Amino acid sequence: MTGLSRAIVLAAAIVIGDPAAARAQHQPVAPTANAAPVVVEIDTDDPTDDRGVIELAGAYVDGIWTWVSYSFGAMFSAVTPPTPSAMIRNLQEGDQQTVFLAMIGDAGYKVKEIENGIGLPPDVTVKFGRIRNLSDADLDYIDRELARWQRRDPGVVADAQRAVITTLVSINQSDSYVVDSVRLRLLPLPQVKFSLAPTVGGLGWESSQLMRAIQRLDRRMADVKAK
Amino acid sequence: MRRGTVGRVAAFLLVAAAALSVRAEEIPAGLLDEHPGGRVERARILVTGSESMTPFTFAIAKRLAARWTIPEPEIQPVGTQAGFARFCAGIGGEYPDIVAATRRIRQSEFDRCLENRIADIIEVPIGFSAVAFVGRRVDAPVALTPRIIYQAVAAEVPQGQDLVVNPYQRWREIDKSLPADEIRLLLPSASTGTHNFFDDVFLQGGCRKFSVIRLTFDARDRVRLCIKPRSDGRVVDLGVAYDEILPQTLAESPAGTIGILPYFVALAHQDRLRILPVNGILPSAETIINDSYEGVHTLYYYVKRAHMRDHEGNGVVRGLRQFIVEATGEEARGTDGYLDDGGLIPLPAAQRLQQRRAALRLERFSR
Repeated sequence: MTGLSRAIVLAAAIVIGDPAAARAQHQPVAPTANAAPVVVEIDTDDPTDDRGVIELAGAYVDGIWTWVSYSFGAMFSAVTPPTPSAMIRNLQEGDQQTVFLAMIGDAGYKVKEIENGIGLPPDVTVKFGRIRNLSDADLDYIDRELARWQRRDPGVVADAQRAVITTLVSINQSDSYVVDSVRLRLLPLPQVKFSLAPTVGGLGWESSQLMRAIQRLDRRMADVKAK
Repeated sequence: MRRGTVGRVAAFLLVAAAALSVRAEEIPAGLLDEHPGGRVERARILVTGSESMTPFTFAIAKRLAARWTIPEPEIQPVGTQAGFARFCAGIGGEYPDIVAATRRIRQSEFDRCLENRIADIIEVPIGFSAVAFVGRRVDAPVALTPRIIYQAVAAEVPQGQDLVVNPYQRWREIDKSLPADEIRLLLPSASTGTHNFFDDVFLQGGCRKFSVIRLTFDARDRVRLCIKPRSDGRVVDLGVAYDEILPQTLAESPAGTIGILPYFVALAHQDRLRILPVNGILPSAETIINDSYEGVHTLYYYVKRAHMRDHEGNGVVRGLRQFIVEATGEEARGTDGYLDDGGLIPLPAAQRLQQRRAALRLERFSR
């Protein structure tokens, strides 16, 4: 089995464990409210680091939950699992989830959007977009950090999270596919989804035309620069 | 008298039996069977890979020839990356049997091996090696981090969301806790393994966390930005005989000058040079083994099982099993083993034993 196919099989099998989510599952559950998905879109070119983005999204989701609590009474705060904003805040704290997110960042990904479905059970999904490819030194660094993490925390949850990172890296090292985005669902059940994209895309007619136009523009700019 | 002799003989027999049982346990039956009738494609083992591991490979090769009457292996030091490229290029007499590496095989290199039907690889970790930053003993010590090193060395450094020509002239301008001495670094030639390691771990490691670098998509652009040294005379390339001339050159340099040396060379010059901490941690056997010191790398041999001889004695070359036995033996890589002279820091005893057993069982490497 090649590295790629192994990685894809592994990716299909992986379900991330998250202690906070696990705790949430043991809380009493209130009757289902209508789900209203909220997507916080984040500009990937924004130089703000992930921590700032998470804070921003946290504040936004906090606002929505305040409205939900106001509209539906105190029942929600009393019986619902931790709010999505609490989950998002949890991303920033010094537990293994943060190590995991830091490693996703080191693997070349950045938080792109946080999707929150309000309802019971609530739905929180963090989407990461690919912002850079990795150098050989980056790969060695990730290998070393994974080994250090393994020594610090050999547990099953951390092991599954390490498998996600390894999968990401190994798929991206293949010639034919890259992981374009990673969707990390925290609630109601932890799950990871990878979107694979071919490295050499079979572009449509319009895309080819657009690409040729861009190349022409690029050549003209180079000519202007040379003059 | 008679009772004493019997006792001594019994004791000798017990010790001998114990020694034999250890040997029997350590070397699996049949591993070293000789097949004089077999046919091999090449007379000598071909080892390629890391230049900085050449002294270790050479020492093992000498012992191998003396102990097992095997022709001394041919060593072709080309660097770890080029070594893997050759090793994974194919199976047969024209391809190397062993690669010496200062890091683990990468997934892409392993995939390349698999593409060329080299699935059976035996990984043999032999120990650790480290590099140390040194300054003059008479100077104030500079507490380094990869970030500080990068900011001192790079041609361009981040300021806000831009990259600017390196403005730092004194260590204190980078970090207020550092001495006010002028920045000056003596580096080995760019063709050496130590320089490559410095680029990968300290320069790329130092610039990796800057957001302006992180947001650069193409790895080639990022690497260029991270490792291109400044050209204003503050970074000096001392050439290939670096390890020999650095201690003297550094001793004669102005205050604030820093160099990088293999750890065991730095230890030998502690009378004149001060070993500097990185991230607040000094290199030592303990911090190297527990991987808390940043400048550590693990040394490996990767052996191609397909080149070993089969049960009839036919194959590419003779002696690969013996090479594994020799390289994993306590005489070589144990505490005070002969590889210690070249600066090898042994793996912990339990890990040595476990990995020797795995290697002697010819366990297939996988990632």
